[in-house]
Amino acid sequence: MATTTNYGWATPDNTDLVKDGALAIRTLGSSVDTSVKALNPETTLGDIAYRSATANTNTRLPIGTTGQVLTVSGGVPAWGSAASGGMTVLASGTLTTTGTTLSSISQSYKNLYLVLEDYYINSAGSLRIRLNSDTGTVYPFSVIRSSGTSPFNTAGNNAGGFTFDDVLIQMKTSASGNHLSMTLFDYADTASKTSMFANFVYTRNDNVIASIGQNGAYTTTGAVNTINIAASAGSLFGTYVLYGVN
Amino acid sequence: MAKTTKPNIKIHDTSTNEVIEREMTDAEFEQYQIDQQNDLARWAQINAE
Repeated sequence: MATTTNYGWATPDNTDLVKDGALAIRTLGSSVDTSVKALNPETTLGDIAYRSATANTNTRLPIGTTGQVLTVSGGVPAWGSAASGGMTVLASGTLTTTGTTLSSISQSYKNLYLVLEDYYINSAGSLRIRLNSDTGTVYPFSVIRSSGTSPFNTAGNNAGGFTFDDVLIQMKTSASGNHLSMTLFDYADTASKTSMFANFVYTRNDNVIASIGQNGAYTTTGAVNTINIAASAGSLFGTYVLYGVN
Repeated sequence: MAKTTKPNIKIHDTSTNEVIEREMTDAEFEQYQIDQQNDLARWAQINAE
């Protein structure tokens, strides 16, 4: 008996008797029905079919639940939870003039994001951010400055923390709108150093607006669990928000 | 002898959200003074360049 090329359905031979035609049609129809069902196993609104390990037979993937996304598990499609993301406030408040320490920082996030708003120092000092109370010379940095008409860059290795200033030109003590945002990347990794990038803008005492990008690293291996924010001289004012970021 | 007043420091425990503000300990105050001296030297060095 002849069969079809792809699915092997039995079809009548040219020499078969006409009286056997009805049976041949039923047999062929039954085979087609079986194949079509094997290729379309969905039963419910939203179901999806995918290729199984058996030729010409698909597997039904029932519709997932609200919010689920299609992913791959064990080499086949599956519904799963969407990867979580976003920012979580870990701490916020007003800076204390002589130093604020954010302690017991959760190690459950990918990065830390620190924002200082309306901050200023009432003396010729720098903003200093120290990690893990580490006073070593372990804070290399490079800076790109855009202040007034003389943008330039500089680099070094600070002792006792990252320092943020515009070539030590004092901040305008009554200025508002100053802003610093700093990201500590992969801060919870106990086996690696921590890289950092910060942007900050403030009005200097000479009324020039300093806009500065600073990258750097905390080169002591280990997780960061404490951040100290202080002025290297004088008093520090402003507010802080620390986010955990995934 | 009158007790020396040291600057205050704020400790914000991010796991409990407990905030305390207290006088620096002797060790903290010593480091605070070292930081101030280091910064003065840093400013002087850069201003001299």
